[in-house]
Amino acid sequence: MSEPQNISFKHYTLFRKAVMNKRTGTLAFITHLGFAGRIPFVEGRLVNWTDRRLLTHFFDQPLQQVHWDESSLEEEGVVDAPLMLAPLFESLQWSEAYAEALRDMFSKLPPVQVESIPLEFEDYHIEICASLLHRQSLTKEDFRPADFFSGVNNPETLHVRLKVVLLTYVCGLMKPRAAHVSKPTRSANHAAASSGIVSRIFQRIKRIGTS
Amino acid sequence: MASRKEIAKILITGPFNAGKTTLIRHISDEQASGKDVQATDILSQFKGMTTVGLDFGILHVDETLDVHLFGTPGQSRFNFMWKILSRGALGTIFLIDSSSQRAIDEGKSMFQYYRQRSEDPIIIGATKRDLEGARPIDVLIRELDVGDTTVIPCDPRKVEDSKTLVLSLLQAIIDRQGGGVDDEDDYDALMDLE
Repeated sequence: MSEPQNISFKHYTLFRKAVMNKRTGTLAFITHLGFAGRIPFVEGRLVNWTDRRLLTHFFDQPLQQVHWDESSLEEEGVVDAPLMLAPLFESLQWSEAYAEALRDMFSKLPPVQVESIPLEFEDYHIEICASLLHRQSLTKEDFRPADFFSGVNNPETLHVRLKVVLLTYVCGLMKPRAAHVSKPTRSANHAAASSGIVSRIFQRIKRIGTS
Repeated sequence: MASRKEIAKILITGPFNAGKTTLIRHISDEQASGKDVQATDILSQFKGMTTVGLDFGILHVDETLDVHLFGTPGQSRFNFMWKILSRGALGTIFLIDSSSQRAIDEGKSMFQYYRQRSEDPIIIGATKRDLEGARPIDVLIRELDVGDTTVIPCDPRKVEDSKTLVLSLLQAIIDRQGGGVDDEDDYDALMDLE
């Protein structure tokens, strides 16, 4: 069966919101190929008994329907999302069309900052790639996911980079770079003064070893 | 009259033998080891601290700003020094030898000590990843009981890793100062994939 023309990635956003907002409930979905499943969340964490095969399908193919159900679940055998997803992502396979669609979609994201993924991968290609993404987001002004894909023509390299970007995204480790005026606080003046200092130090550290 | 330079302070701490001295060496323009302090005009004010093994480095940022990097001794009996040094610091980098159970045990009590006394930004650098017995990062997070604190695998012998650690701390400081997104709606608008 061919993939739909207009692939939606809304389910990834819903997954990310469940993790970031520490929601409890289930994410119900039906894939384009007819697999149906439910992913339970307890305060933003995944549940150990979740079917790994279905969870893989949630990430490796287009979805027809996705729906969030707010419900109460017992906190039993919960695990942080990165920990459960990392092994799945290492073996994730995408069609070229789906990978390109993912690349296009993530390339539209605004400048982001990326946190380090709190674990290590068995696959050292992914491990190095995750480290590279974190480092680039720290050192490059206005770093965008598009920069991370720039010049990548090798499909294998692209897939590895997409895995890292997707994992970082759905686990809430990717955030928009500071572009907003913060709400005024009592310490706003102090913060503004010290943020200037921090920015100068930031630039200086980036230059170490480059001259 | 010459204008006085601003001084920003960053602490490097954690149990013994984690790479604190090496990190400071990579990030500083001038440094002194606790074991062999060379008193210079700038450093002489810290001379009296040499007997307790303090590492110290200075990074010249520009004409009006220096960063002082303090490496606290790696034994928990010197925790009181951290309390003194942390006053006015931008934040702390906590290094831990992830291959040593003794260091992890020591690190856990040190980290809890710090966390109970300060809400300043702190990040953890997990070192010695190349040694046999190095704990996986997720195991280390559990064993140290560090909650949401960022843990970054690193090798301070590599300049780029040392830079990444300090940049991560600075990013955490910027986030803390309100550089983040105001509310969930803004976040969704920016990061929605549709």
